[in-house]
Amino acid sequence: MAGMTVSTTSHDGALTRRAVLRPLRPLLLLAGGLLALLVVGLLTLKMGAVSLTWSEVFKGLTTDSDPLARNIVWQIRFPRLIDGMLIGAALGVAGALLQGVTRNPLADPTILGVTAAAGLASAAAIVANPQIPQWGIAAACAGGGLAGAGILYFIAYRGSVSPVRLALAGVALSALFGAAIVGLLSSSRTFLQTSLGFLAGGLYGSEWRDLRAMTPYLVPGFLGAILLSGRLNVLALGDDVASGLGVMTDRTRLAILAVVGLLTAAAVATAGLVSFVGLVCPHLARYTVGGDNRVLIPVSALYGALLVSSADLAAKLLISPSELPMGIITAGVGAPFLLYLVRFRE
Amino acid sequence: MRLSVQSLSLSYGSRKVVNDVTFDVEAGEMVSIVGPNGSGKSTLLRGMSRLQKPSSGRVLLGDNDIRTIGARVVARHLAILPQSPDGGSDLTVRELVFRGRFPHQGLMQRITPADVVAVDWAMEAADVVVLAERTIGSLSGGERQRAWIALALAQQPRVLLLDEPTSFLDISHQVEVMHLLRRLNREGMTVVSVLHDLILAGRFSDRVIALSQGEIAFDGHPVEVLEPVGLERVFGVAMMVLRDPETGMPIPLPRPDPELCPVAHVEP
Amino acid sequence: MALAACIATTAAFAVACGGDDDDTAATATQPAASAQASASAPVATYPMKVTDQLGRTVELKAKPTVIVAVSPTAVELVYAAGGTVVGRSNSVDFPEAAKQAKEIGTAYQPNFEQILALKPDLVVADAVIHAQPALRKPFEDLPVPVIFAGADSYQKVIDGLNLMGQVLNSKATTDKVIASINAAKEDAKKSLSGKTFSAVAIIGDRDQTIYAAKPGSYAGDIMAQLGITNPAASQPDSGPFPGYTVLAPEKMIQYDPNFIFAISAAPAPAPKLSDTVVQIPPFKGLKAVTGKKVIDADVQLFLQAPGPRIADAFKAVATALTAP
Repeated sequence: MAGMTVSTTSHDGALTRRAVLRPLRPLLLLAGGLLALLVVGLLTLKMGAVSLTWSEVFKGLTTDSDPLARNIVWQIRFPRLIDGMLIGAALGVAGALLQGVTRNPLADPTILGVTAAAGLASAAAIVANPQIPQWGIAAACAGGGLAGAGILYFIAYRGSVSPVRLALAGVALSALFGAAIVGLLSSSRTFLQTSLGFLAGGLYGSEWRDLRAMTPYLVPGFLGAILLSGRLNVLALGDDVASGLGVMTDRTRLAILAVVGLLTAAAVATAGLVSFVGLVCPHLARYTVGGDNRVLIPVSALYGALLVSSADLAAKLLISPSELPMGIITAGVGAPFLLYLVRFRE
Repeated sequence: MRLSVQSLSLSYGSRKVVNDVTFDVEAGEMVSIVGPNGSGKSTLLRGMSRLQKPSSGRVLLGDNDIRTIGARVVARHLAILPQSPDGGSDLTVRELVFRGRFPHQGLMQRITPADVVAVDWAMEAADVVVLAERTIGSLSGGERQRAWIALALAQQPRVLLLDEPTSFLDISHQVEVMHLLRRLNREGMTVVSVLHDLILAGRFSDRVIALSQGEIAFDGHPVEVLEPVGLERVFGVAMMVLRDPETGMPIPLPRPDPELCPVAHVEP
Repeated sequence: MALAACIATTAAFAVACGGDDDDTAATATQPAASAQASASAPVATYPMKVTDQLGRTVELKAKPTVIVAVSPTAVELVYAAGGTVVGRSNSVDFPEAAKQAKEIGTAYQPNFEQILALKPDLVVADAVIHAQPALRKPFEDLPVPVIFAGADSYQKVIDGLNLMGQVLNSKATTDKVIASINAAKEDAKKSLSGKTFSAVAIIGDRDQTIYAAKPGSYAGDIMAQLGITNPAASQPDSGPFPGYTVLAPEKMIQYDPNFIFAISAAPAPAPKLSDTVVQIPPFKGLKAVTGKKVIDADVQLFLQAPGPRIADAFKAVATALTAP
C-alpha cells in the first residue's frame, strides 16, 4: 500500500513535468522561428543585387536622408520581404487546413487545384482587362480561389465529403485549371510567351501596393484559420465523433475550404503559382509540434514565412545581380521532400 | 434526463432503414438495442444522436428536439461513441480525452480548470490514467475502446450512446467495458448501447429493445423479453434460453442442430 | 546609273521607314528598282550555290520567283532585295505589299503543309528563330530549297542583306540598302558624338518582371553600335529571352540610366511599359523618370522584326537621345 502510494506520486510528478514542458516546446520553437525570421529579414534587407552597408540599411529603413538606400530598402526590399513572409504564412496555413480537413498528408493548395483556380481567375482578369489594377487582380484571385474551393467541395460532396474523394477531385481540378492557364497565357498577346514569374511563382517587383491589395483577404483568412483550428482538431477524429461532439462537419469543412481559398488567392495575386510551400510546412510543423491544430497552424505559418523569405533571398542571390523566380527554389526544396515523403513515410 | 424517440423514421436515400419507431429511455436506464445485421439498430442510434437527420419524427432530449437546440448544446448532455472510430491515432490518450471538452469550450478552446477536472474524472472513470501519455495508435483494442469512452465521458454527458462498444474485443476486454458502463450507469448516467452479443445484453441491461426490419420487435426487461419464441422471430434461428445459475438472468443461445453439433457423452 | 541609284535609294528608304503613308510608293517602285539593279549587275549564274546564315550550302537551280518567308525578318530581307513573297508568317505587316501574301502560321509554329501548298521554289526561314533543332529540322526536310536568313544584330542584318542579294541576284539593290543603313548609323553616331549617354532597354509584361537588353540582343546591339553605355551589359543572361537579363529593381536604381527604352511586348489595350514603369514607386526618383526620358520604343523595330529597318531604329534612338 505504501509502495503503491510512492509509485503513484512519482508517476504524477512525471506527468506534471511533462505537462509543464509540453506547452513550452511550441513556445520555444516559436521564439526560435521568429529569431530565424528576423535573421533572414535582416539579410534580405542587406543583401541583393546592390550591396549596402548595415548603416545604409538602417538609414534606408528609418529616414529619407539617403535617397538610394531609402529607395532600395524601403520601397523595394522591405515591402517584398513583408509580402514574402505573409504569402509564405498564408500558404503554410492553407496547407495545414487542407491536410487537416482532408486527413490526407498530400493535400496542399497546389495539389488540390485551389492555386490553379485563383491563378486562372487572375490570368483571365488580366486578359479581359489588361489595365486592371492590382486590387482588381487580388479580387479576381479571391473569387477564383473561393470558386475553386467551392467546386472542390461540391464535386467531392456526396452525403459527406470523404478525404479520398476530395483529393481525387483536387487532382483533376488542378490539371484542368492548370491547362486553362497555360492555354490563356499562350493564346493571349498580353503576356510574353512565358510569364515565368507567374507560372513558377515569384516575388519580383512586389511592393506596398501588393500588400494593400491582399490584406483584405489575408486578415479574414488568418482569423478564420485560428478560429477554426479547434474544430479542425475535432474533425480529425472522424466525422461521426466530430458530429457527436457538436461540430457541424460539412459546414465546418466548407468554412475551412473558404478560408483556404482566401489565403491561397492572396498569395497567388502577389506571387503567382508558388507550389510546395503549403505541402512542406505543415509536415515540418506536425513533425516538430504534433497534431494539435491550434499550435500546428501558427507554426505552419511561421515555417511558411521562413521558407518563402529564405527562398526569395536565395532567388535574388544565386545569379545576382539578376534573379530567379522564387517558386523555382520552393519547388526545388519541396519536390525532393515530397519524394522523400512518398518513399519513406506511409 | 429522458430521451424520447417519437415516430422516428430514418432512411439512406430512398431506402427506409428505421420505420416509425417510438420509445422513451428514462433517466438512469441501461438499455441494450439488439437485432440481426441490417435491422437498423446502428442507424437508430445515429438518429437518436445528431449523426443522422430523421426523414420523419423527432428525438427529444428532456423537452427539446435535438435538432433544434444546437449541436453543441446536445453534445453537452448526450455523448455518442460510434463504432470503431479510426481517427486520432497520433494523439496521446490525454490529448484525445481533452478533445471531448469541445462542446463546453469557448471560441478559442482555452482550457479551464473545469476542463481539467472533467478530463481527470473521465480518465479515472475509464481507467486510462496510466495510459495518459501513450498514443492511441499504440494501444490494444480494449485500451483504445476505453480511451474513446473516456473521450465521451469528458463531455460529461447525462446520456451515453455506444455503437457496439465490445465488438472486436476479446472476452476479458468485453467484460471490462461492460463493467465500466454498468459502473457509470450506477452513478446515474443513462446508457444506451447497440450490442451484437445477446449474452452481454442479457447480463448487463435493465431493458432490451430488439429491432427487426426497422421496427421494434420487442422491448422490456431481459427476463421477460429474452425468450425463445421472440428471439427466434427476430433472428430467424432456433433459440433456447438458459438461466444464469448465479443471477437468474437469461442467457440466450442458438439451439444446437443435432445433425451438425457434436454431443458430449457424459454420464448423468 | 545615276537614275538607277536614285530610284534604288528611294526604294530602300521606303522599305526602311515604311508602314506609314508612303507604302504604296514603296510597292510601286520596288520592281522597277529590282529590274534596274539586275540589268546593271553581273549576269546571274544559276544554278548557283550559296552559303546561308546557318552555314549551310544550298543550291538554287534558277532564280526563285515563288517565295515563302517565315518571319518578319525573312520577309523584310526578301523585299529589301527586290523580291516578293507569296506566303508569310501571320504577324507580318511590313512592308504593306507583304500583307497580301498568304498566312502560313506563326513564325514559331509554321504550318508546313500550308507552306508546301503554295508550291514555293524558295523558302526563307529565320536563322535566329528557327536555329533550334526542333524547328530547323522540319525546314531542312522540306522538298524545296530553304535558306536560313535572320538577324539579332546589326552585322547579321548586313549579312542577311548580302545573302538575299546573292540569292535573288540583286546585289546592287541590297548594296544600296546597306549603304543607307550605314549612312543612318553614321548620322546617328555623329549626332551623339562628344557626349556619353547611358541607357537601358527593357521589355516587360503583366507578369511585372522587367528584362533588360544586353549587347547580345538586337536592341542591345543597336545601342552598342551607337556607342551608348549600357549598364546592364555585364549582367548574366536570365529569364526566357536570349540576350536579356532579369533586371532587379534595385539594380535599375543603382544604374540610374539617363534613358530608358521601354519596349511594350503586348499590344493595346495592354498598358504601355513606358507608362507603367514610371509609376513603380521606387523608380520615381530615377533620372530617366524625372527627366521624362522613358522612351516608348517600337516593338517591331527593336524586338520583333530585326532587319533592314535597323536604319529607322538608329534614327529613332538618335532622335530620342538628342531631344531637348
